[in-house]
Amino acid sequence: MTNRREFIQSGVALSAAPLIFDPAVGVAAHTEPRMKPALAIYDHDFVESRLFASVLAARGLPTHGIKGDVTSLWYDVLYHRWAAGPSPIVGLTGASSLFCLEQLAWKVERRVVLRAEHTQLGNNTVEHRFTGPELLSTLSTDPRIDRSWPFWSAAAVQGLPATPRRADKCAARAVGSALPESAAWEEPLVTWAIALKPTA
Amino acid sequence: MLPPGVSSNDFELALAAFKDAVGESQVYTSDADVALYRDAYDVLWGLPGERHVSAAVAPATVEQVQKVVVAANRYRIPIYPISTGMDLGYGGSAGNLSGSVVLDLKRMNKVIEVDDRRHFAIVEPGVSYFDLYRYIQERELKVFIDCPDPGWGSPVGNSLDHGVGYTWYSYRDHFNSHCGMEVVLPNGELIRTGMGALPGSKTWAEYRYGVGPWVDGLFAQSNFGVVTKMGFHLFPAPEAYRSGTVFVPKRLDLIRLVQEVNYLEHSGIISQPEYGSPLRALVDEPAVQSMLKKPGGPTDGELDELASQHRLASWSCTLQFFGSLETTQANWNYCKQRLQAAIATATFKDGVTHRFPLGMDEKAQVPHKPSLGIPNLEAFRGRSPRNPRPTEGHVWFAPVIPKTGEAVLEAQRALGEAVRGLGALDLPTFFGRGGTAYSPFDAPATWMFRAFVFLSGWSASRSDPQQNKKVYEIVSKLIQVAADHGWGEYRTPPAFQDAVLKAYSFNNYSLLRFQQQLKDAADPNGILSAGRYGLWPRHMRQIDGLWPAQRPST
Repeated sequence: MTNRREFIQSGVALSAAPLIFDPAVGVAAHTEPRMKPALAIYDHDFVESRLFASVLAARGLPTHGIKGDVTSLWYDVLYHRWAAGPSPIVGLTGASSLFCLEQLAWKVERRVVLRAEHTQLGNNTVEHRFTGPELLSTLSTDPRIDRSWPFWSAAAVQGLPATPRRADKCAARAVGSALPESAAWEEPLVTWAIALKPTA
Repeated sequence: MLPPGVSSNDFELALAAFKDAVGESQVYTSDADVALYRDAYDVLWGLPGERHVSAAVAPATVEQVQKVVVAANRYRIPIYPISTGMDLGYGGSAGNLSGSVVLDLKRMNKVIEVDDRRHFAIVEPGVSYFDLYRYIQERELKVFIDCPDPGWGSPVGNSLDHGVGYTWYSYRDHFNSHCGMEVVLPNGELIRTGMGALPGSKTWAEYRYGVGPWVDGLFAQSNFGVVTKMGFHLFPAPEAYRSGTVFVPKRLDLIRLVQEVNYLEHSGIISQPEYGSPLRALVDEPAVQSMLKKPGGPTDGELDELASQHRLASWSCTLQFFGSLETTQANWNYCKQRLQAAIATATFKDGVTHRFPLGMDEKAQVPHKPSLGIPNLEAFRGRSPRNPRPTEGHVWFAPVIPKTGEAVLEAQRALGEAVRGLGALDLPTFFGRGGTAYSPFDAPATWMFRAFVFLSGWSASRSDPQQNKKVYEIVSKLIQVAADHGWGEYRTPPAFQDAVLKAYSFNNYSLLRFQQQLKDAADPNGILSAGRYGLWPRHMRQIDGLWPAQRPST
């Protein structure tokens, strides 16, 4: 869970943000039921990830923090949740953490249904590469990603269709600004969602 | 993609037979599903030599495996069994032959039995180390597992690839700890090995040989059958763990240190020893870098001087003990006494002690969990002291060298010279970068009970073909240099399996030719794991009767 200090810090960032994304903005034209994530995963080591979790926690979504390693998340939490039901999960983590979760999810008939990779380019810019349901295409090309991408991430994971379909795939790319508080990452960050295998 | 030499009509018929055997939802043919079986760590990623699978089929029972194997024979479909398919760095799920259908055994995930009075387990191939650990923990059984660094692998799959771990004695050698197999042969027939061949046997997982020829080795790193059950000897849960470290000041002290530690280990006094060099902390200092880059590298005297200047030992070795608090203390005392007598300048430092079972908090604090038989995924986390700059993957180069200090020093020189000669100093590796691979501060891995493995991990990329090309060149060269010195690899990814096997050429490949005879008799259609560890089916052996015409390349 995000702690009180992180939440307050993120609250400052929230109030200072030029624009807060609402998931309804990007998917307003769609009436399809949306996925209800069971858990949002974040990495304590990245300010972007903490911000992402704070936004979702403020909207009532349970969060779970990691520090790179997903062992405890898998062994103590996901193993039981995924044995009991669909439990889609979302996250903003390092790429290697997602790599592990994707491998584990694959074995229990789950897939990554949203993937937005964020790569630092230097000069305080970040490249965003997005693949996901077409439902999110408006959101994925929204110019506001420039200054607010962790908020975009929080909006995106709440705008997913309840039943992702393979044919829904779309791809987009954008380059935007890094958060002023951001430290250098040793690997790309990824906004992602994992859910039951999409239907054909 | 179609399997090689198979018509689209026959492939469709085979897929229909597979669906009939396992159910439609357990046959994977979509691009998205099949892509998951790519080897994420393939050094040939995106290049012509990369291996792709055509489909995957996931049986849940032995009978379903038999049906799939029979159908594969009928339509000449190459199949490649995987257990959990997590053998990253050594090949993943993709097999050796492009177009193969993966026989994914993930749904065969039952723990058949764990006995904590006789200390064994019998499991199916889809059981992971996590699963077996969970089974034992939930039932409070008094046994330890021995697991490799990533806990998501399968005891069956890992041992069949000669995988290794970190605890006591020969438990670390997972194939050596197995006892009894159930195997579906390439013709679909089911056999049980060892005492399992005796109907009603009470000792299948206790006595491995049965009577007569022992065939279990045929099913490891090989393609003679689909293993559907396997027994393993387990380490009785000890009362306590203790560690302590010995330090020696001079570079050549390593020779006597290894000799003494071998005695302690082979006598059953210590568990896995872990060698290291405190001087490795200096490797990025400019003065040390220039020392390493000079032709011929630094002399032993210069390295001793470096150690002296920094008041560091040249070598360390952490000794680990299992037993009771009293016996581990007594053994540590004995080790100190013996090592001090052998190397008068040796110094010692007490390590940590644990009493089992560990509490949750204590467990979380264990720095290297597999040393205590606790499965985890920490090796894959983005950032760690061992892996400060995470990359997209790696391939392991793993030569087996003699368990002597002399061999370590010789391997440092020979393999280090090869790395420097290929301009690989700045290439990313699992442990840092090429410049530190086989440096004078590199120590061997000690998983094997009777030999060292001098490991290096070369970073593979899914976005940089030039880096992969360089890695392919380096590993190929290292294989050759190792062979020139009498060192062969114990395990290698498919991209290098033919090259590694090529070095095992005694008496004009008489061993390989014998294996081929067996293969041709047991699997005349060559459907099973074609090319695994250099063993290709007859119809694909175009070069010298040994190798296929199409070799992996960058």
